[in-house]
Amino acid sequence: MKSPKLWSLQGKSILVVDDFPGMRSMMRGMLSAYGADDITDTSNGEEAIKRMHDKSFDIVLCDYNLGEGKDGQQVLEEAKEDNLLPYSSIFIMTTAENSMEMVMGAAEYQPDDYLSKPFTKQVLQTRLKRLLARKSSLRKIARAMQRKDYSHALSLCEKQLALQPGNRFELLRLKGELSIKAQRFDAAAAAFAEVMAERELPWAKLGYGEALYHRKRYEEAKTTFKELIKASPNYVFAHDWLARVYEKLEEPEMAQEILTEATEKSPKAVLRQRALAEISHQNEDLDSAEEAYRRVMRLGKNSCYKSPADYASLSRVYLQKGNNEEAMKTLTLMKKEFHRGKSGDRLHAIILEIMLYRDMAREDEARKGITEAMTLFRDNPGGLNTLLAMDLAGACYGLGLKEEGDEIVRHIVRNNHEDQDILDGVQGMMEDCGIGDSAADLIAATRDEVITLNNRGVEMATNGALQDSIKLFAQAADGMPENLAINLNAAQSLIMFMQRYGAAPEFLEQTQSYLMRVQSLNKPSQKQDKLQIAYRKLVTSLAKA
Amino acid sequence: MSNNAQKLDFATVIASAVHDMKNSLTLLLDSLDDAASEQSIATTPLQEKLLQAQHEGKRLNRNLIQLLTLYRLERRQLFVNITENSVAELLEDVAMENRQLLDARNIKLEIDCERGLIGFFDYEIISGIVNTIINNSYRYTKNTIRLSGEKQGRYLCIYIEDDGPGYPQKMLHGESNKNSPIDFQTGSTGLGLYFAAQAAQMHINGKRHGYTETSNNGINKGGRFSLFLP
Repeated sequence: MKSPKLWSLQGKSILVVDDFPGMRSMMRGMLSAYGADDITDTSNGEEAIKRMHDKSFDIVLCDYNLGEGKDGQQVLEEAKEDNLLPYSSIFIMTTAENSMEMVMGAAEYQPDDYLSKPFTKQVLQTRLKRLLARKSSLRKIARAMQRKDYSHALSLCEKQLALQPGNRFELLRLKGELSIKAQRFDAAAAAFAEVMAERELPWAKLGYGEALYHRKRYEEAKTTFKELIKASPNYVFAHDWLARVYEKLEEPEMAQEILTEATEKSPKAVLRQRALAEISHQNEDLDSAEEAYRRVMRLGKNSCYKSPADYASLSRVYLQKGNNEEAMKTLTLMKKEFHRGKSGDRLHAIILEIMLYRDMAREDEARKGITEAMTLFRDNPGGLNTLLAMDLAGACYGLGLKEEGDEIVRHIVRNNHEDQDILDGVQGMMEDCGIGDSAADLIAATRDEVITLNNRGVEMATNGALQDSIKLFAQAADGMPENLAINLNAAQSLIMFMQRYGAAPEFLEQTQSYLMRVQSLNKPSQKQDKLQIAYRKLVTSLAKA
Repeated sequence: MSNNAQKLDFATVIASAVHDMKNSLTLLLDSLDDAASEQSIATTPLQEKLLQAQHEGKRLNRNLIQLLTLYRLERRQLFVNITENSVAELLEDVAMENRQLLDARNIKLEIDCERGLIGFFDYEIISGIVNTIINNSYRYTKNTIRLSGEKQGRYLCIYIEDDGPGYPQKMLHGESNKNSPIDFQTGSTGLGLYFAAQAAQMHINGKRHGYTETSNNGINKGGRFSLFLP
């Protein structure tokens, strides 16, 4: 048996975020008393995110109320969205407020624990001790989750559950959530039902309803969420899901009503406000839509969920209300807000702008926008996703800019050459623009181009010219980040190379990035599973070497 | 200027004031904790005074929380966050928080709970209740406080017993949901018991509610506080 080591925080990287200097130095003191020797502290959320980009932390202690700028919940959301917080690390929200309010404000993510002020050294120690032990028992699962390998994470989950552990509920929850991610909805329902048989905990019932929703059993899902709302009226997540169910049942008015209720209970969550704004807009309840979009913009100010689409939608609401002046104002505001943002955001904003100008019949400005959009696009084609590209192509054709339109259509086809729904969509869009005749040829020619390229790469790989094949696919994947086959083959040629010549960290990393891209495209395939398994073997081989 | 702009939103004022007070209390309690833990003053009257000050600081904090919670309860803004918890861990956590103070007065704190006992409750609220009751006991007990937990039928039971003179007649009451009157003349003890009763009642499982009881069946006929959670 190993001798028990004295518990210590030595070697753990810790980030403390609090706007109050006294509190930061107190936390440093408390943590140092338990051996912590790698502590970073900062006074605001923006800085916290920067630090997390520079370095990954094992433990983050973040205050909810950070004065001006981002609050603790927004720090958590952005860190999770940007993949700065793997499942293995600990995020504790410290708070002087009642923690339930924060739980209410939460939409997508919740911290591992809340710690209410005042707390003593001992309390901090006990919480950290327990959390670290818990995370350590889940570290293998966490690693699989980090590389989005959900089927492996699930099988690890099963193995641990078979041992009848003390944290059975936590594992069942994880199993349910992972099953949903892996699109195994029956397994998800079973995991949540196992918890509910013992106790109807809100999260279990919510997960169960979610699984029903994904299995398209909307009536049952409706009953489940309604029961949950009745039993726990303040558990707002149930409202979010019930609204989604109503949308599927084509009762958008009910969806709006439920979301209105939810946003009254939890006014701070941006995504929930956005859902309300969108459904109100769809219901042509322009006043409600206007109010909701305004709230989205205000709440989203410091949030990673800030998006030009909200500004554009609000501008469109004003146009529909006949208030061109406000529409223009909102448009100008959007231009200002996103002028210097990430290039993807900028392109997004410009495309929205083009469409609004077209609605206002201001063709000159729309044309100018297209010139700008094309420059940004040519600079970084990977930054234009399929949905936006469709809008842009439609606008180009609408303004008679056929050459530009074709260029964008080729981009769409390249990224989706095997997706018949999207190809049909392109065809339909071109027909609507009155150039249906040339559509079939353009689509077919571009698709053949991709197929030829793909075949060439595969041939190189089969003939043993693996380095050439890697180069070809890597280059292709850069311009076609949404193309499933190209990304799979990029991963495959790297894996074949490593299987022959041995694994190397930089190749593994590159492979992982392609596999994660594939995962996010949400089109599970046998080939993907096989590559995941091969990748895992290579990781293990490197660890053993 | 419109009237709206001048109207004071009291809830916001309270929230920001409490935020500030909690920060102050955190620093105050931490300084006292450091000072009281100095080796050089171990078992001196100075240490006892510091521990006493710390105790009062914690009481202040608990009162603040209770007031806020009751305020929310009245405005129907309070709800419980029921999770799966280890009862032994809960009792150990609360014991640890009070250990130093009790040691200084030579009060023994016993815990009697099976390790694997799992309960479904709002951890923050229930640990708040246990803390409050321990603090009452601290003031009246002779030399022992006992915390215990067990499963009784379909309820989880948590007991806090002491060997003091017991509760006065007017503070003895059965199931809280029978609305037995609680006497606020008794100061913070009354408020604490009222808070406990209200918070217990918010724990619901199916049709069953939680409740509290006070009796004098504690150690040597001392006080015994019982918390029943469905």
